[in-house]
Amino acid sequence: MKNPLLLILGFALSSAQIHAQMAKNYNLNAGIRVQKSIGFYCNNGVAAEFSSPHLFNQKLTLGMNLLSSRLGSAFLNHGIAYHEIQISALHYFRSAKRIQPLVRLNTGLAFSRYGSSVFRDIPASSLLLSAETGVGMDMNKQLKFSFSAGYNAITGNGTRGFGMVWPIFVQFSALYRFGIVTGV
Amino acid sequence: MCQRQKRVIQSLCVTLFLCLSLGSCGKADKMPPIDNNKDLDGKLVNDSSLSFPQNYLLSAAVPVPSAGDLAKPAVILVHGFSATTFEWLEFRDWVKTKGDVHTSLVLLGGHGRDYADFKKATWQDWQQPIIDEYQKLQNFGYKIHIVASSTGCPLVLNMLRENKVNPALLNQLILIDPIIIPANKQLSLIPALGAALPYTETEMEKGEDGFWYKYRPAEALQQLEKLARRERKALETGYTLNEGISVKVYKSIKDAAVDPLSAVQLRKGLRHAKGSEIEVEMVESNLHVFTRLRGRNSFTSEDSATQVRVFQEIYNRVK
Repeated sequence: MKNPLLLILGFALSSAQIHAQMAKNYNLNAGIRVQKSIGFYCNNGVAAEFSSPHLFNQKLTLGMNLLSSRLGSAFLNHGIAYHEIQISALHYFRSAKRIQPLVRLNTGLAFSRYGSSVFRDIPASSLLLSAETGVGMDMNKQLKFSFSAGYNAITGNGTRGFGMVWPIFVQFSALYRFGIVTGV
Repeated sequence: MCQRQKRVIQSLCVTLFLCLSLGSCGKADKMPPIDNNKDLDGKLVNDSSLSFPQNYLLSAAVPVPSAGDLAKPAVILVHGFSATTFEWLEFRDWVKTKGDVHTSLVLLGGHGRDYADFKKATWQDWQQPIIDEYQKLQNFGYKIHIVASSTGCPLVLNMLRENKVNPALLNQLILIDPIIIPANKQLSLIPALGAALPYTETEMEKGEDGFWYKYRPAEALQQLEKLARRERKALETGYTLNEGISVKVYKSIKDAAVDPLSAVQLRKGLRHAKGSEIEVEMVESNLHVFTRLRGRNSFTSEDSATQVRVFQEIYNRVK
């Protein structure tokens, strides 16, 4: 080997290229989500989406949202603290294009703290099950927006079921594409 | 896409839009099947307080109060959405036996008349008779208390918060099943559904015929949603009542009309003048406005006991 340095350099470059090619296929987007129940609270928080070649060849994206009224309608006021932990499965149509219609299925948990034992008999948590449809937009290589409207299948009236989950909601997400996830 | 295809698509869109618009307009004007002989919604049956205000309103019953009259406390009783003065008749009759408290049963604007009146009234119209009676009693110099149920509660809270009356003479404010957050979350969709759903029908219990509106126009439901949302937002911001006003909230735990979260929001957002928390009691009951049993198909002995206990507590507070 005349020049082992070149060999190492060549190996390193080709590894990096392979890594980059593989890494391109793993997408991690994270950012903020603003969610408004029609006629009721605004719950805001963080959202993340992940897709990989191993998940139906990137046709399925997994998502997670952590939302709280403390970051929305109950921010620094006397509103009722209410939180949602959601995991989601979503599909973007036309994923190679800039405008991507989307469908999404969320499930998770919603819960509140009422701050007094007087209210111990009122339901304070619920399972979440909702469907969304809307549109995603690749603003550039790093930034993705999505707008959608959803329907909560599980709602309550405060007597039978948790009253903080309302049927119709709309949301806006702004996600930053981190792109590279190790583990290639 | 050729020009012809574009024209066809445009025509289809316009036709669809017109069909939807015309269909919606037709439905919005649709009248419910009112039975004039027994439904309050009809032209024949009205709340009796319209014909005989002196039997209901203290200001009409005692137009020139004596010093003895003024020495007794005056309790303004305010009913809820689609109801009438009937809702507080039992309390009036109960407290009459004590002989030392005046009651004044206010009929909300747009209520107790007919469907058309209910449909066109705004929540401000509903509120006006409470303001009028309060001001009359205040001018006479009565020591005033207010007991309100359901929709009557946000109407009274709004009246106090927005200084529509002088609260200086108000002492006790007692709220029964106040609506701040409705149990039926579909109420939030009324603005969107109003055209397609011109009214909803209430399942009346036998003794309620003629005392409650059976049909609730989308416009009235929209007003209710507007009022509840407005007062909820005010409570989220938080506000303090004037000096001298003491609040007690009774909230039925299993209430199909008003979400018990209403009591949570009231306790969080409403404060007495010196910053103390208002008193809230969650009542073990399945009834909405558990203080009214007359006209119901059935109720338990526990319901009767709760009613009398709360009547006594109200009396103790105002006396």
